[in-house]
Amino acid sequence: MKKMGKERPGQPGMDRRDFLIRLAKAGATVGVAAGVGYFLHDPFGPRASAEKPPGVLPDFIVPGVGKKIAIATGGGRIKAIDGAIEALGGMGSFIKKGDRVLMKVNCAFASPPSLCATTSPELVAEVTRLCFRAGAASVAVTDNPINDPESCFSLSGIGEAARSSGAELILPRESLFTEFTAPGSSLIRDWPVFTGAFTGVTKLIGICPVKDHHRSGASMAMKNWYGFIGGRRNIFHQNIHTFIKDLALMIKPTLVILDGTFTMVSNGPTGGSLSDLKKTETMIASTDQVAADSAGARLLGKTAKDLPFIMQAERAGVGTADFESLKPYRVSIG
Amino acid sequence: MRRAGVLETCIGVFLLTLLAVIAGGVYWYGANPPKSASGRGPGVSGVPLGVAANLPADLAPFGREETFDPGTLSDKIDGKADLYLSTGFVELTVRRFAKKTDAKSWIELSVYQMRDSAGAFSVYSLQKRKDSKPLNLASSGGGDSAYRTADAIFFAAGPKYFEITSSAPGLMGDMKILAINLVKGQPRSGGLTIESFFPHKFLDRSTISLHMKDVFSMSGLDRVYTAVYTDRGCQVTAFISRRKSPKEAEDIAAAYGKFLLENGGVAAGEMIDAPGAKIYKVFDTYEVVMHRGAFFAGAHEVDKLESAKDVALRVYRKISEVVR
Repeated sequence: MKKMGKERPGQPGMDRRDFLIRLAKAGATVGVAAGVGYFLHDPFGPRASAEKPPGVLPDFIVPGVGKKIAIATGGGRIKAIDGAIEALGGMGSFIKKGDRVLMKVNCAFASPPSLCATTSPELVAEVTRLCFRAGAASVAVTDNPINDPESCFSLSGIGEAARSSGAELILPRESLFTEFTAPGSSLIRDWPVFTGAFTGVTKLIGICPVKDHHRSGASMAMKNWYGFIGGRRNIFHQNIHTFIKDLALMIKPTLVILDGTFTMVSNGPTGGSLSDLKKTETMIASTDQVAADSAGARLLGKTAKDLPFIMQAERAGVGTADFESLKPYRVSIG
Repeated sequence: MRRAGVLETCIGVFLLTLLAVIAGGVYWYGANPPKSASGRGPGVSGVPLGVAANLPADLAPFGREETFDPGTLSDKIDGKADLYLSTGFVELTVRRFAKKTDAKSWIELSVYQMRDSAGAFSVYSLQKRKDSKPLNLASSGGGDSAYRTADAIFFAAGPKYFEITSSAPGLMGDMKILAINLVKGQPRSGGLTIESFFPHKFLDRSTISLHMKDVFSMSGLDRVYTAVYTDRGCQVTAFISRRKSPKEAEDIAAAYGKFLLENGGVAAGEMIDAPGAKIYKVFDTYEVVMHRGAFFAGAHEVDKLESAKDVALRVYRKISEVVR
């Protein structure tokens, strides 16, 4: 075969045939690599099965009880919660013999009870006691703090309070989360939700402190459901009011309890000092989570209109922001 | 066809091996995304910032050290992360220490590494507790800004912001020792000289704050110091921001004035003694907006016009002592 001109240094003996064969091999290699890359390329990034239909969590509302709210003041946490529950007709109005109760606490931080950044352990113990006295077969306490759940439950005192009062602790683990799409939500779509905590549960009670929140303005009953969400949930902070509304649409509790014995009025939601707390001596219990948050907003010196998630939840039909329209049972404990 | 030589074969094998290693790394990273909290183990030298050597004798490390980066900060402090992320947050290190005699008495040390001292001072100042007391850590060579509450100590030193919180009463002595030890060797903050531009009369020094982003709700307005004065019973928030040039200060004053007019404000005159200073009435409050040299300054949301003008004029004159 005729040589392709002068040989180049370092390429002795290459002729047209060699060149074409090498060119074909190189082309085939590039083609195969590109094909494999194209085959493996996922333009949408990691996600769960996109076609999964919306799921529905159980509805824990007790039929016939209706929308009620009780606001107890004074007397300390135990007397206040006892008074508020009594005003709503007693725990027996909500918990029946054999019920399996799930108590969703706020245990987001590994901070001591004194800072009121987490649900009060004495409140957890008292509500557990009330549930058992009403005939509950079991009480489980849970939250998904993301950051080291063992430390959060231990240092907040909630773990010990639950155990000593006979409640079971459900710590988050991967097997308890499922990809979930909440009906009507544009945000909770194919997202890991702590659905395993609901297995066998017949009643749901949310218990949390009233707190200032740097992003949403307040952390109360509806925001408390954030702890049922897994994954990199902080991305929802960009749209937090809508997200809280979506949570409230997704979760239908038996009862919510807002602890305003001390209200974290500054530097929330973590606080860090007793100076962030204000003694407000108020306990709110309600079957309407929107009304409860609206009443709780007052403890922060705000109204429902100052907190967009409350108004969004009302518009979505979750409850009423005009808690006074429910004619609250007001209990003053000396 | 010529067969490949030994050297070519070796290079080829090396390149293929390298590609295989890279592919394996990409696959592993994809299968193991970063965890929520990058908790480092409690290694032998796992105590941060040389605390071990400076720890009060009756305290011992409790639990493991944890670190959080911008991607995981909200795992630790939830919604408050935004405050730090918008202010130049780099890393948070957290460690707890318990009384050797009582494990339920423990303190938590949080060290926020910020990009610069201005960022550290900003997060320090914006979270200042109302009933706090100033704390003098400066004698140890650092700690430009520090205060204590009944159960916690907060301070900024150089580009770091520190929080020492406690689980029980009776730990303040240990917390102070730890704070003093921590500020030793920290660089002194260099970005706080702006304080000297706030006239001292009627000034509540504890209210000096640095706002880093979207100040007064105006998008893009950054790095503004504020301080509260009490003038004849009226609270006045004065503000000062040092810009890169007199032109930038003038442009920002004009832009802020335009922003006020677009958001319900009306022009309400000028200040004769402070050339270029403009007054706006925004609903029921007054704003004074001015520039002097490279400074953008004024008074913000003041109930009484006279108080707004008085404080703004004193700020203007103080700045003028430097800018001649």
